[in-house]
Amino acid sequence: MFRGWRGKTGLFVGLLALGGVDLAAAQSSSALSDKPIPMLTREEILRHKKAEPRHKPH
Amino acid sequence: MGKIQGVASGYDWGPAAMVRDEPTKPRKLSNHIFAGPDYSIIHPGIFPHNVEAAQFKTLAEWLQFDVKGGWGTDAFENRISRDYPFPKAWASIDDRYDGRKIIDERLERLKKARRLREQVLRNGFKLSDVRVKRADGRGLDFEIDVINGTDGHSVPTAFDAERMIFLQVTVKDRHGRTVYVSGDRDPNGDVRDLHSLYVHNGELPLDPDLFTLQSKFVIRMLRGGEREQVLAVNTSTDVLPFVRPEPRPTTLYGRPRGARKHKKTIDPLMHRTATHGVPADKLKRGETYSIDIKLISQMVPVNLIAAIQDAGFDFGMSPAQIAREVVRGSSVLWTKRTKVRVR
Repeated sequence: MFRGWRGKTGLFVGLLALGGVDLAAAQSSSALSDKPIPMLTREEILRHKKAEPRHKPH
Repeated sequence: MGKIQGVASGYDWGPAAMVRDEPTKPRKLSNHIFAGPDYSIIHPGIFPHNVEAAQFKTLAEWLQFDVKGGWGTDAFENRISRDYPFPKAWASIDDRYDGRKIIDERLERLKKARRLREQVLRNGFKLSDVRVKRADGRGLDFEIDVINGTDGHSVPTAFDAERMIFLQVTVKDRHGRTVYVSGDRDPNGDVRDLHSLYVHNGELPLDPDLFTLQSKFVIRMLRGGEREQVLAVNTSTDVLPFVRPEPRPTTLYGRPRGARKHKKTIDPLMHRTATHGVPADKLKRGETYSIDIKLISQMVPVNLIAAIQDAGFDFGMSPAQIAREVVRGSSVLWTKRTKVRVR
């Protein structure tokens, strides 16, 4: 199964296409969600701040 | 403010307060009601603030009170069955009637705020008549001026990068068929500018004729160049989103150096002219068309909600719900209509 470069390339391209389709499906909706988004808690904000350095080295 | 919002109309005169049932000495009364352009989008049991309401139920309980459903009105209470699934806090019919009384008072106050808001905005913005420049086989061209009605400051003012003041222009034939539209909304409630999610994602075309007085933030990018953004936050185009802090003192420069605004406001007593054109292939010679132009004010664009939604929203509100309330609170300040026959 999938012998030779054509088979492997075909499998690779196929998987890529499937991935692409999924990606497109995930990004297609421009509509705002009707699901409530709870406010970040104080702990979540502090955890977020600690995870990211204030000055990022370039 | 004086007697009339947005106009030098003099001040009322009288006691400023009652102290132990005695009026204070008469004096000039200035009006400190800030009626707009912002408006409330949350539950009327929570805002406008009310001591009685706060003592009666908690915020979470007020959020359960179904105002639109008609709770506490005869029309609703007389038609429901005994086993209607009310939450525990509102199981008593007396509570629902008391709650409705408080809600009705709050709604009256919101209505008053809307009336004053529209008064100040209508004094701040004026609209000229429609001027038809061409109506023949080469197309239909027309223009209209949006005028700053005040000599005090630019309009919109202050928070002008979030203020939506725009023209909604519709041209219809005599059968009511729309042949041209600008300033219409996408399904989220945004106008079709670059910040609309639908335009950004290529699901709707850009509105090239859109007339809006919303200033836009223009942000300097990491390696030069600038771009329009919803929020005035410099971000690096990197795999790891990173908010870069401002290294220079804003107080000395007068503004953050990495961000600026594309100003679209109108200076005092000046105007901006909106021009619109319907291409000839959309028109029929000899046909009469109606031009309908609305000047609309909305406190913030819907795309701002999308930009800030990651931090979440209070009172259990969803982004779409907030967007609907923001659009519902918008006001048509002026409408101009005219008819034109294409030669």
